Amino acid sequence: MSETLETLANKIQAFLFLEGGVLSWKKLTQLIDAPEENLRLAANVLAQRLQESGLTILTSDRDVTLATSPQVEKAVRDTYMHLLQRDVGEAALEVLSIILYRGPSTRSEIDYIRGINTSSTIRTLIARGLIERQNPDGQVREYRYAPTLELVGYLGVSNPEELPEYAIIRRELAVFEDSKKPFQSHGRSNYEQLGDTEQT
Amino acid sequence: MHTTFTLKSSQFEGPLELLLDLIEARKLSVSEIHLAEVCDLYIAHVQSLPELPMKETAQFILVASTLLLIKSRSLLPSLQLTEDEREGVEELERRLARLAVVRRAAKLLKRDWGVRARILARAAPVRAVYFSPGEVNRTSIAIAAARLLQALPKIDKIAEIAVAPKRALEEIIAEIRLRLTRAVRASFAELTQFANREERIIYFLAMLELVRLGAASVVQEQLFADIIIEIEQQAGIPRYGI
Repeated sequence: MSETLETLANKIQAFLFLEGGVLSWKKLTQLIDAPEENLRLAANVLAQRLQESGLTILTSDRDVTLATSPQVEKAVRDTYMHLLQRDVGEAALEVLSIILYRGPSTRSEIDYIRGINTSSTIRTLIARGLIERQNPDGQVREYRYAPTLELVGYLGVSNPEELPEYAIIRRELAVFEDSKKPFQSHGRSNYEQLGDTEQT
Repeated sequence: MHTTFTLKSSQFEGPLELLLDLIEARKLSVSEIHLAEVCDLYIAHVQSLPELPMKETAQFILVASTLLLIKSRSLLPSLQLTEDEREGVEELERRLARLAVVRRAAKLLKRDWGVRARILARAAPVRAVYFSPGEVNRTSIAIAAARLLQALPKIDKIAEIAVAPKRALEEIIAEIRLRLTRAVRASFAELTQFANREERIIYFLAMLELVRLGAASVVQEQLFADIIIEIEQQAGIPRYGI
């Protein structure tokens, strides 16, 4: 007998509370002996259940967490203003757009799209906890940078798919990915030598 | 006041951003014709740029050369481009178009930045665990309680010493009176030189009693100094406000 989504939702809520932060789906499958697919469905059930409460669920491809809900936004804003008032520059917003709408990207990809070296911007974004390095297999030569749930929450959505015009912009960007090879590789070599190899 | 800080890490924009700025400022779209139009503006901008690192400069010049190629072709439609050149032009167009999409997304993000923020838990500090509940049962609590009781400071039995008044107050009063009738005045130290502590207290009380009765007056020159006792009626001397 597989568990009902309701009981799974309870367990997810309990572990998110106990761990008090961001949990990866992978970790959650270890804590709750259930397939990731079921956990994701159960997380939706939990999100539904939390709808009228002061908490909400944030999810990404990799992680899940509890966060304050939009209903209490005004109440918590005053106290936590210092966390929110930090501005971002145009360069940072472009990098974040690429990472959020295009998906996890390597630095050389981001450099190529923007036509400029992005290393210091990426470093700052990591330091601020808005993006994080990924190297799931530990085999890729270059790190990929992915959005954190802090960033997702910052933008007032519960997952990247809820971002404004997400489907449209994602499709438009995908067109460029499918394009001919020269577009993909040419020019990239200019930055290849600046790759993140020093960190591997 | 909270300080805000921006993430503008590089002072200058890259060549693509600059070119896109020029096109967008004129509300043009990314096309060969429009690229030919902004070619001169781009080159003028590049010339006014401060000294940049070699790698960055190379990027600017690479884009400039492609723009010049585009412009040449717009002036000379018969100009035949090589395969590489054609790819270079197409690539520039596509990169610009893609960056335009990214910028559109960036604007949307800017609009929503921190406006309806959902805040993650701030990790609660883990409280130090002083004992493991698993090791505790009623017996161990009882033992611990007993040990605690032993460790508590004992209440010492307060020694009760029955001080038998060796000499009654009246006796002392009579004695002082007698002394004073003989000596007119006496010092407290003199009176009590053979007395022990208890007796000295009784002497003091007796002295106070005599003063109260108006039978004697006392003078103490300064704090803790010897007290001089004078008999009142015998002295017959007017008292001067002591």
